[in-house]
Order: sequence, then structure tokens, then C-alpha cells
Amino acid sequence: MELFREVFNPWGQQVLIGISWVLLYAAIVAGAAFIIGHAVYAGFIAPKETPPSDAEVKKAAPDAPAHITRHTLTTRLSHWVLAAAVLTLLVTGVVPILGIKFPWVTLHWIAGLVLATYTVFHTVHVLARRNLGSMWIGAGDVKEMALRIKAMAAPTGVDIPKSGKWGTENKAFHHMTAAAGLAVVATGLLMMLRVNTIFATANPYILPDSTWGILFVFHGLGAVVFVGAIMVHIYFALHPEKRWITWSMIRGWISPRDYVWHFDPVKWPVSSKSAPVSGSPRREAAASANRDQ
Amino acid sequence: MAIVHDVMPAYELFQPTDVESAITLLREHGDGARILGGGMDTWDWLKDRNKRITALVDLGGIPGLQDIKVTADGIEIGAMVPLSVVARNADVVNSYTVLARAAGRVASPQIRNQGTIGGNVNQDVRCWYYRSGWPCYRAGGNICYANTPQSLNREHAILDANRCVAVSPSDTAPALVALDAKMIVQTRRGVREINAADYFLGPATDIRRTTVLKHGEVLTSIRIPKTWSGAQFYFEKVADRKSWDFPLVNVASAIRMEGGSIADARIVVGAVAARPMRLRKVEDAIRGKAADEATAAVAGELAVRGAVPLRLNGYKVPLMRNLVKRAIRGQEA
Amino acid sequence: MAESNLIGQDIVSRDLVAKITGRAKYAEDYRAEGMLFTKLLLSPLPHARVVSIDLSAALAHPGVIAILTADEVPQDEFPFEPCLTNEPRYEGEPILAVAAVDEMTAADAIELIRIEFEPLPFAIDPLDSLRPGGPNATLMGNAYLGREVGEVKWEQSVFDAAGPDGMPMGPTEDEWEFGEGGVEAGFAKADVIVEEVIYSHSATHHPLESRTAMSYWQNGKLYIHCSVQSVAQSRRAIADRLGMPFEDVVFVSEFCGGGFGSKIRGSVTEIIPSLLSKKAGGRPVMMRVTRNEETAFGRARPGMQGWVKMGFRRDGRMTAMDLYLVQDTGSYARQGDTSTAADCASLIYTPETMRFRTVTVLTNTPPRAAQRGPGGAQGVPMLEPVVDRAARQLGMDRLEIRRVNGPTAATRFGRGNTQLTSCYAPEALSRGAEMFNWSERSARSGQRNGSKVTGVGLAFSTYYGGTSGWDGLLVIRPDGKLYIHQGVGNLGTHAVMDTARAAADVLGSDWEDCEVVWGSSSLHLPHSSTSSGSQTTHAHTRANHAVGMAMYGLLQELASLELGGSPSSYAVGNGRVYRIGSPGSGLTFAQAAQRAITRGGKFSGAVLPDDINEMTRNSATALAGQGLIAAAKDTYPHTARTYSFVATFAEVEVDVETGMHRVVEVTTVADCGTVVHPRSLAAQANAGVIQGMGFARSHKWSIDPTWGVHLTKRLEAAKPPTILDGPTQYHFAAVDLPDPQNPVGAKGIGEPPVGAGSGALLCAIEDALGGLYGSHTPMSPDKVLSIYENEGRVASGRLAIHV
Repeated sequence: MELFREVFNPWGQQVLIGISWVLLYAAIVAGAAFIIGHAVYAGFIAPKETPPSDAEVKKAAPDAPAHITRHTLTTRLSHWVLAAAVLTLLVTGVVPILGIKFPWVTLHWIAGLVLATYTVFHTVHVLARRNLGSMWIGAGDVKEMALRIKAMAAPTGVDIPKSGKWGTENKAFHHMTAAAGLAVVATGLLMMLRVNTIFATANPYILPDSTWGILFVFHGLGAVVFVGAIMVHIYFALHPEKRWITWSMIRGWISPRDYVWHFDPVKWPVSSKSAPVSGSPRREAAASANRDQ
Repeated sequence: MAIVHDVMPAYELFQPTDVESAITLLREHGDGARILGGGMDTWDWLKDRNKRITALVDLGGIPGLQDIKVTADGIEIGAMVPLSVVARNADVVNSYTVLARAAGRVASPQIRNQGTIGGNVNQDVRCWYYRSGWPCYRAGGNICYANTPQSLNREHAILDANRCVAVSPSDTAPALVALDAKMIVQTRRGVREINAADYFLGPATDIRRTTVLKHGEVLTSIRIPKTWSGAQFYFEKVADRKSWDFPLVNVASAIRMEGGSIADARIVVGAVAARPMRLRKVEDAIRGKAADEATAAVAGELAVRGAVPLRLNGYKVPLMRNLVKRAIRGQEA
Repeated sequence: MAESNLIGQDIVSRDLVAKITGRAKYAEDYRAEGMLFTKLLLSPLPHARVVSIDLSAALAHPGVIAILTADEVPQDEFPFEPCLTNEPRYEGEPILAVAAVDEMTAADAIELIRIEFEPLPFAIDPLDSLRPGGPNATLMGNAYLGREVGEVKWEQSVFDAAGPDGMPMGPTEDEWEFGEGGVEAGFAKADVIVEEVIYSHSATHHPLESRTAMSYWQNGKLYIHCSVQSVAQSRRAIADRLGMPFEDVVFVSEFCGGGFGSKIRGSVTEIIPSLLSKKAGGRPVMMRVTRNEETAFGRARPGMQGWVKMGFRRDGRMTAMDLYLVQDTGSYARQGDTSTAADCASLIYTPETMRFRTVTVLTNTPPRAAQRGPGGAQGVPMLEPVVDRAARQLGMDRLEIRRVNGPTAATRFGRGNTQLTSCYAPEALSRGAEMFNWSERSARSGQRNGSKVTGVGLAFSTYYGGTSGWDGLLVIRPDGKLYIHQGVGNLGTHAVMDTARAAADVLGSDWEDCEVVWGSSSLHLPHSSTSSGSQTTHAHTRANHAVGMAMYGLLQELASLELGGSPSSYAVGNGRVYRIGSPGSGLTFAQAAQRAITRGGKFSGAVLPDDINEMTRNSATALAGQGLIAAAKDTYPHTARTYSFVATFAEVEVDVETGMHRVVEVTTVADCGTVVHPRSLAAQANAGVIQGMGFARSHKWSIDPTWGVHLTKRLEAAKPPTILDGPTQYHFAAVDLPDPQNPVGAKGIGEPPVGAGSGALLCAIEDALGGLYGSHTPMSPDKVLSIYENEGRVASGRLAIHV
């Protein structure tokens, strides 16, 4: 199986022009396999969890407000803008390769610019708040993850440890898409120089073919990662057991029940007073720091 | 990029006697199969070894494809009718003059005898980089060699370009679009009728094809409705040579006058984009107007709005503008 | 001596029936037992070094017989081209050749070859190469310094001073100046001074027949069938390239589908099948050259980028011309086109002072060669529109300014103060003006009818018109026929037939009793000139006249010996040598041939004149004993330079909405001495004009500057003119006055119509555009439209090369 696409340039030299589209199909297959696997597991193997009773909720989180803020409006808006951009990019970038032809290029680069803007905004935002720690996957996260996988593989009735505000899977997903996103954005911005846009006239000769080839490979790899990741992401967003997360991304809050059910109040403490600011990473970091003392 | 050119490589030649068999053969041989009309485009590709095939399906032996039939609502021209026959046919000459003129200006007399109308509309784009076998977008790569700060692109597109800046070189395609022709396409499942204006694809939609024709489908004939029969027609081709040349720009138009004003019009320009460009905005703007110099001037300006010239093809803007003006005047000047 | 009855008459050329019925065998039509075909692997890069070649898969391919690489062929020192190379200097240069049972097998085998190139720096535009730090076309340098190649780079300030569309003019390698006080003094005397950037493009010759060749070896002799302009000289050239005596080359080229200078002595590539055949044990090898390949190694006209400044007195007299030309000589030999352009300019305008500067730059583009009117065909169309501009500024008629400056028989011209053998240029201009009705038509200049504007132009062109000192060879056989052996080529000019008639005329022979022997060295041909540079008609009317006279003398002497009386009491005519006053007496040619065989000695070819060339001697010796044989060298005086002159007048209709134009009428008048063959002459002149006009408006080549790769590899894209592009009305006349240094009065005519045609067309277009000067060729519709719409600007810039 060829992993890369290569052509002969006008001088008869073999040059790399990107990844093989076989990898795209492989990502689709992998994503689908994961979804099927998970669906089977969740539907037939995993023990059915029962939600905590009102009393348990009251007991576990006595101070919790009725609406525990999980995502601020800004976060939610940026998520959905990001979602729209990424979906547009995937549809415009992938669907024509799969054989359904439509004018995709302009939409693709516009969506790409949105993604690029978001990436810059997000990066600046995160760096400005010096809040990289909250998304750090630490030793504890890895241990927690391992335990959970172990529990899933062989349900023993042992309590599966719960996570703080950002679960390890969330963090891993974020990092994977962030890496892929940076790859496609950085390469995509350069690739815009190859075609006529409102910003510049085409000049594919500003970089040598060999460099372009590598850029195309990274763009393709990023896209392929996105394809698999977004398939899985959408699957979870629609999955009945995870739908509360989707709702939280729409409404911004979760119920105390979901809070108690899915989170470790120690790792993610909330109170009626902290509710309005719980979406603020800095406060959360501060809270986390307090807890550690 | 083939390292050696000008020698036809080996392939299987099939000469089916009906369209169904042709379709079956095309499907059986998959992407390695290619349709042979008059061969004027195909043989260059094959001889240059820049496109490789395993099977060539010659439509020359299929009865009916070389007929011109006058029907109740117009005329039907078989896809394999030679261009010289189209140019001479009395019905075409009398009622659909613009097509006869366009067919009569294709290439050279010898090529018109061999080339078919189906081949003329289905021919691949003209771009010397692409046709040299360079691995451009249209060839499956990810670069356009014709649109760089150094490119030689005098012949290339000023409109509707999208990564690829090649142009449709057909002389008959603009005429057929102007006549509201229907392209009759036979597929495995039956017969499709496609408006000529929708038949041709630009690179934004599909950078590797010039028409909606999919592999395994065959253009069998072209129906021209009576709609424009006997209208005021205009065709002009500007080229470097008077014979054996592709257009730098061509224009085909059909205008129906009523009471001194333009009742309806079709104005189509070729060789400015990868497909014949029907100028709907111009048509709308001139409807109801007198076919005078003022209308022509407005139409000319409107026609080139949005044109994006490349390094060496800026002249196509005034050229297209002037040809559209002439089409409305109905004469050279 | 009989009165001339053949010179000046139309004849049906002996090869006509074969040509129009398709019986004529061109190089590609030959077949030989066991013949193989070869395909070439051409360099895809404009400049590279072959790093490695793996032939194993190709050699294992069934049907492959032999592969020839650069290591197995002669590699002469630069600038001589090898037939195969491991350091290709232009895209399309042959690297290796595969011989196989058929072309498909050979091509398939080439695709199996693994070859690796190391790209080297390359130059496409001479001006780029002359920039500081600009690329060099060869590892030795970028320009010719005399015969050597060295590096010429100009200061950045030279380029800065020129500006974006101006001609940078750095120090040149070659320079001359003439006239009292030099051009500075000349310009000081001028009332009007014009200066312009000038430009002429490169383009492949594109004869209809490509340079196909087929070779085989038998008993140590090389048999080669190919397409060349000249037979005797090509045989010698092939032998030299292979390092063997020419006696061992059996050379066949009976018909040649044109050469235009690209096949003067054949081509270096012709030795490829010869060497492959040797490697394949003597099996015949056919190399069919395709249009792609013809574009790559089929030669091209050198392009020029330059500048000219001309000064005129109020009466129109040119007081000074300062001409500066950079020549793009391609990847190998140095061409003399810029120098010839200057020589032609100095003759057609006879400026009082002139300076010429030139530098010849190597580029990684196909090698250049003389192309019909080399130098003149570029110079005339570059300069004539500038002269028109001066005429407009002087308020002077454009015919008049050419009359004022044009040469006459008394003219001494150029840096060598050269003398002419004859010059009827004023007569040619007057006759042309009269036929064309110049005064009335030029009044129509600028008339507008709708979008169509009338333009009228004329151009005056010249070219060297002939060499001398070649040999003739005649045989009168016992069948009574006169056999005229011709070593010149048969490239469609009829010269091979027409010049033979000089001998027939001397002997008063009926043309039906003459046989022209040509096209194969096995038929024993004399040492003849190349068929090039408009020299053949002049050279071989002289040589055939000389050998006709020699034969005349032999017949008189033979008759005197056989029948008594003094030789001078005999005359020759109508197939006999007879006693003067008694035409029925004496010997028939058949009898004379028999007697000559019997007598031997100088009559039978056993004893030959001392001054003839070795090739003629060998041929005559091979023929010895077959009849009465005369061989002679042309020793007629040739004390001045022979030039022909052509004036072409054109009326065009330029459509300023499309940039298209139509040539309404063309009139051409030539001074080429005595007319030898009126119909053929008119065809030559008109076709030269068409070729020139085609060059001026569509015939071109395009090379991508980033990759250095050709984009116009087909005739469809190279756009030489088709017959439908020609004018609807042609008129031609010749002054028909004899050149005193040619025994029949003839001068050559092949070259000058090209420059006249292209010059007249460009002047007429410029006239229609109200004097807007585009200075870039070919003047295709896009440029005409751009010039009209943008006040003279062309999108590429005036000096952009290979676009």
C-alpha cells in the first residue's frame, strides 16, 4: 500500500505531493470501527449505571446550584464556530475526494481562515491566562485513565475513578485535534499562496517542490486525524449516555445530578458562590491550588 | 510525465456496433478505457504517452451516430458527425447558422473532416503545461504551472478559474450553448438529456473533467430545439492563424428581435474559461433594448466584469468585451 | 556557342511527378532487410549531468537489440555538439538511443531505463545571464569571447540605467565602427534622431520533413539515407563526424522536404543510426525524427535583444546608425546573425557612419543555426519600422527615405568598404512602387472602416547572393544524352535542376536530351556548394557553365581529331558537334561518346584537370570510360561581393477590436540578376515572403522560464503560417538585369524575401496603428490589441524572450 502520493515533475524527478487517500479511507474505517466497538460495548457489555438519587446528589454536592456552569457563553460560541469551521473544512476537503464534486475551494479556505483565526485567538487567550496547567495530562490523569480502561475491559465492580472538570479523554482529544489543527492551519495558510485569493496572486514557486510536498503531507495527515476524531466526537455528542455533555455545550450548564454522577467533586469543586465563575480557568486553577494545600 | 513521446503504446481496440456494448466495454475496462471519436484529441494524448489506457472504444462503427435528423422540434446531430458535415449541412446552415459557422472555423479542413462534433465538445482543455504531461491539478497533482509569476499564459483563462486556469478551446460548444442545445447522454440505466449550458464543468466543481459525462457514459447526439431557428446569429473566432488554430477568444450568439428591440438573447464566449461561458447577466441586461451601439457598449462592459487576467492574457479582457459588442451588433463593426 | 534557350524559361522539374504522386522517396520511406528502429531518450532538463544510467531492464526487454550511450560516440570539444551527451545543455538534447525491432519496443524500453540527473544552473534569457550573479549556460561561462567561451557579466548599474523595458547595454565583446568621425560625428550632423529598443524572437526552422535518417554498414561502407539540403557537402560532413574517409560513405538524399538552413550539411544526430547500426552488427537502423524532436534538436533562428539609434538629415539621408545587439545563440555554436544583421543594415541604408556592438550569449535552449536569411531576416524587420518612424518625423515618404539611402551599383558599403558585383536596388524599388501603386495606396494609410484600419508598408531587404569556385561534372554517354551531375541538394528550390541548364545551354542541348544526376553519391557527384545562403544558383550556374565550356572544348577537339580540321572550326548544338556552317555534319553526341571511350585519355575521364576537387576527381574517375567526360572548376572572376535585393510592399487591414489583420495585397520585386526560371523564382520569392510574414506574426516558440522546458513542440503551437494565412493577392516581378560576374547573369534569391516579407508586414501594421511601435514579435493579435489599447505596451515587456 502506498502511503504517499508522488508524481514526476517536468524534469522527470519524483516529487512528493501528499499522503495517499488510502489513509483517508483508513481514518474513516478506524473511526467507524471505534464507534461500532464502543456502541457494542456500551449497549451490551458495559454495566448499566444508575444515576445518583436526589439524596445522593444532595449529599455529595450540598452547595451545588441548580445550574452548574460548565461552559461560558464565549466558550460555547467559540466551540460552535470552531465546529462549523471544522465541519465545513472536512466536508469541503474530504467529500470531493470521495467522489462528490462541488465547488469547494473558496469555502474551504474561508473556513480555514476561520479556523486559523480561532487558533490564534485561542492560543493567545490561553497563553494570556497562563492556564496551560488545566489541560496538562499529568501522572494522575494517566493512572486514572488506566484504571478506567481496566474497569471497562473487565468490569469488577470496582469504582471507576471520576475525573475533574476536564477528563483525560477530553484532554487527549483536545491535544490531538489541537496538533492536527495546527498542522492543517499552518500548512493551509501557506498553501493559499499557491492559488489566487483575495490576498495574493498564485505563486507556487515561493517554496521548493520538496518543501511543498512535506507541507501537503502534514496537511493531509492533520485532515485524516480530524476525520477520525470528528467522527468519534460527533458519535459521542449524539450518544444517549453522553448527551448531557452536548446539552452543556449548548446551554452552558450541567445539572447537579450529572455533576455528582460524572465528576469527582474533590477534583472539580463547585459551590453556589463559585457557580458563575466556574468556567473561568484561572479561578479554577486557584481553587485547585487551594485544594492541594 | 512520460520520458519518451510520439510512440503510441499498446492497448486493446474495440469497435462495438451499438452504444450498449460500448458502455459495457467502458465499464468492463474501468478507468483504463477511453472513448474514441474522431481521435483528434485522443491520439495526441496517447501518442505523447501522457495519458495511458488499456482499451480504446471506437464509436465509429455504431450506426446512427453519424446521422443528422430533422425532427418535429428541431434537429438532432449524431455525436460522430464530422465537423465538416455539420458546417455544410443545409438545415444547420439555414436555421442554426451559428453552429455551421463555428464548425467551419474549427482547426483545419483536414481536421474538420476527421474530427466529430461530439469530440469537439468533449475535448479536453487547452493548456500547454497540462498537455505536456506536467503533474498539475488537472492531471491529479496540486499545482498550476500556468498561474505563477513566470508562467506563459497568454492563452489561459480570465474567468471562472479555480486553481486551474486552462480554457475550453471548443468552437462549437459556445454555439451549442447559445442554441439551448440538449446533450443526449446514454448511460447504463438509460438516456439522460442535459442542457448544453449545464453540460460543461468548470474547475471549481471538478478540476479533472470538462463535462458532466461520467466514465461509462456516452454522448450519442445533440438536439437543437427550434427555439432559436432563424434568429440573428453571430460567431467569431479570434486566433493567431486563419486556419489550424485554437481560439484566443470566440463568441457565439443568438438574438431574437421583436419590434426593434431584443426580445431574447443568448451570448456565449469561449476560450476565456474552462467551459463556454454563457453571459446570463448580459442577456438579462440587453433584453428589451435596441441592438444599438449603446446596448453593445453596456453589454461589453458587463461581460468582462469580474475578469481576472493573468500575467500575459490581459488582452483577453478588451477582446472579449469587443466580441460581445460585435455579437450584439450582429456584425464586425 | 549556342544561344541561351533554357535560362529564363519555365520548365517542369524532373522530380515533379514523383513528388506529386507520392512516388518520391524521402528518408523515412526507405526500407532495408532486417531494419531496426531507434528511439531516443532526450534530456528532460535544460542543463544537467547524468549521474547514473541503469540499462539492465531495457536491455532485457524482448526485441531490444542495442543501446548506444554518450560514452560510445565521438565527444568533440565544445562548441562541437556530440550526437549523444552526458551533460545535456538544453531540454530535449539526446542522451542515448535504443535500437529495437520496432518503435514501440524501443519506446517501451526507454521507459524501463533508470536514469538519474544532477540539475545544473541554467540560463534561458541572455539578459538574465548577463546580470551580476546571473546563471551561466555552460560550466565554462555564458558568452563567446572570440572562439572561446568565457564569462561576461555586466554591472547592476547597467540594468538599473535601462529601466524595466529598456535595453541594458554593457560592454560588448565585438565592436566596429566606420565613417569619418564615427557615429558621434554622424549624429551631430543629424536633424532627426530616433532610437528604439528592438527585438527578434527565436524559432525552430520547422521544415515539413524532419531530420530522419536510416543507416547500415556493408563491407566497411556506410550507407545512409537522410534528409539534407546539400548532398556532396553532407557526405563529407558525415564522414568527418565519424572520422572516416568520405569515399566510404554512400550518401542518399534524393528528396528533401525543406531545411531552411537547418539541414545544410545534415545534422549531428544523423550519425546516431550509423553508430547504432555498427553496434547492431550492421543491421539497418531507422531513426524517424518526430516533430517534438525536431523542435528539440532541429535547429532554430537566433533571437536578438537590442537597441538602435539612427540619425537623419532633413533630406532623409542617414548620417549615423548605432546598432547594439545581444544574440541568443542557444546551447552550442556561435552564430553570426547579429553581425550579418549589421552588414545588411549597412548595405540597405548605407549610413555615412555606423557603429555596431554585439555580444553572443549562450543559453540552455536548442542550438541555433542559420535560418533562411540568417541575420538579414531579423535585422530588416527590426530596423525597417524604426526607419518608418524617422520618415514620419521627417514628414517624408517612406519609399523616398529608402531610395535616398538605398545602394546603387557604385555603392561601397560597410566596414570593409565592400564593392558589389551588381546592384539594381533602385530599379527594384521603383518597379515595386509602380506595381503596388505606392503613391495611391500609401495615401490610404490610417483609413478607418468600422473597426478596420488600413495600413501600408514596405521593406527593403538584401542578402548575400552566391559563392564561386565549385566544380561541374558532365558525361555524354553512348545513348546520346547529356548527363549533368549535381552535388547540390534537392530541397524544393529547383536549383538542382535549374542550374544544370547552364551547362545544357552552353552545349545548345535540348532539355529533353539532358539528364540531371543527383541525390546519391553512388551516382558519382562533383564537389558542389551547400544549398544554403542563396549561393547555389550563382555558384552552380557558374560551375555548370564552366564545365559546359569544358565539354564544348572537348567536343571540338574530339571532332577535330576524328574528322580533321581545327577545333575552332567546330561548333556544338542540338546534340551534335558539327562543322560551322554545316549543322548536319560532324558527330552526334552518341558517336562522340563512343569515340571518347575508344580514345580514352582526357576524353574518357582517364585524365582529368589538375584544379578540380578530390571528390570530383573520384567521381569522374569512377565514371571514366563510360562516355565523353568533362570535369571543371569554376574559375570565372569574382572580384566583388554578390548581393541580391528584394523590395516588398504590403497593404493590411488591422481590426483594432480583435487585433487580427488581413493582408490585402503583397507586391515583391527582386533584383537577383538574370531570371533563370521565372515560375520557380516567383514561387521562391512569394513563399519567402509568406514565411517572413508568418515569422512576423505567428511562428514562434515558447520556453517556460522556470523549468527551461519547451511548450511549443507541435506545429499547432509553433504556428508557422499556413497557406490560408497568406495574402489573397501576390504580385511578383524581377528586375531581370544580369549580374556581370555570373556567366548567365544570375544571383541567388532564397534569403532576402523573408526579411522583406516580415518587415513589410510589421511596417504595415505599425502604419495602421498610427505609428505605435510594438517592438516585439511575433506580432500576434494579442499584442496588436495590447499596443492599440495600451499605447504601445505589450504584456510581456518588449525584451521578453521565448514567450
